[in-house]
Amino acid sequence: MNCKKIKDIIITDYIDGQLTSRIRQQIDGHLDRCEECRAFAQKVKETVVLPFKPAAQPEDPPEFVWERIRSSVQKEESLLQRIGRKAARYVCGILYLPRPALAAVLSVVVLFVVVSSVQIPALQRKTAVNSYLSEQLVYLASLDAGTLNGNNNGDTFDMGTDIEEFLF
Amino acid sequence: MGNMDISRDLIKKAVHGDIEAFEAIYRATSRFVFHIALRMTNNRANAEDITQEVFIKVHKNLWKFRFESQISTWMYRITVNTVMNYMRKSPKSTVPLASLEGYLPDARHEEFERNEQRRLIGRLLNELNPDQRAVLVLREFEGLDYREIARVLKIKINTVRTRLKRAREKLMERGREAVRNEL
Repeated sequence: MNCKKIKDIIITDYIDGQLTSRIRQQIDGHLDRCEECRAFAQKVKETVVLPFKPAAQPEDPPEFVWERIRSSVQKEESLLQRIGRKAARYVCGILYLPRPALAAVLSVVVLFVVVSSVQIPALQRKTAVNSYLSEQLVYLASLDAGTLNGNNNGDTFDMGTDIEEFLF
Repeated sequence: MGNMDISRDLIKKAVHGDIEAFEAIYRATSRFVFHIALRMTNNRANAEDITQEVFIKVHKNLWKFRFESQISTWMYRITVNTVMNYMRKSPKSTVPLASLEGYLPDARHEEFERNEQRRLIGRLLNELNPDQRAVLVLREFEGLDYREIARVLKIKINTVRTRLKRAREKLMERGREAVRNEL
C-alpha cells in the first residue's frame, strides 16, 4: 500500500475502528516507518477526532415537546376512532404506496382509460356495420322470399328480351 | 444500535391507539432523535420542532413497521430524513453559534468549557453539506458503525466511507485554525 492509500484508510476505517486486526497491524507498521503518514495521523486525531470526543452528551428534549406531540396524537386518535382505524389505514395505505407501486397502479389505470377510449369508437363502428348488414340481409331475404313465393308485387318488369329468358 | 427496550408488544399497543405505549416509545427514543436534530441543525428551537415532527410521523406510520429491521434503524432513518427535509426547506435555519449561546445558561467553568466545545463543533459541522453532516453525526455522536449508517441512510458502505472522508478532509482544512484558537 502506498502513502495515499494509507492516508485514505487512516481518515476513515483506521480512526473508526472498522479494520480487521491484520490490516490494522499493517497500517501501524507503516506508521512506525513513515514520518509523513505519522504526521498525517496526528493531524487527523487533533482536528477530526478529539473535538468530537467530549461533546457526545445527549440530553432529553424539553417536556413541552412531548406535550405538543401528545396533543397532536390525541387529535389523530379521536379522528381515527370516528372514521374507523382500519378504513383510515386502508385509504392511507393506498395514498402512501411506495412510488414504484403507485406508478404501476397509475399506469394500469391510465392504460385502462386509453384502451377504453380507443375501443369504444371501434365498437360503435362495429355495431353500425352489423346493423347495416342485418338490414341488408332482411332486405335480401324479403326479395328472396318474394321470388320463391312468386310474389313480385309488380316491382320487377321484363323487357321481353332473349337474354332475360336465358337468365331467368 | 440496540433495540432500545422497545418490545413488539409495546409497538402493537401503540399502533392500536394506546397513548401510554406510545409515550413509552417516546421516552426510550426521544433522546437520540433530539440529539441528532440538534447536532445536524445546530439550533435548539429547530431541533425541538424536528423532534415533534419525527414523533408525529412515527405515530402515523408505526402500523406500517414490519419488524423486518430494528425499530431504531427505522427511527434513525425517519429522523435523518426529517432533518434533511427541514434543512432543505429552510437552509438558513442552521444558525451556527448564536443559538447555542442560550443553550447552557449555567456559567460554571465546566459548563462554559462544554459550551465552548459545542460552539466549536457547531462551527465545524456547518462547514459540511447535509449528506456529509448526517454521516458524521451518526458516526461521531451516535457511534453507529459503517454498516449501520449505510442501512439507516440506504446507501452503500463505500458511500459512507467516501462521505466521511470528504467531511473529515474539509474539517481538517477549515477546522485546523479554529481548533488551534479555541481548544
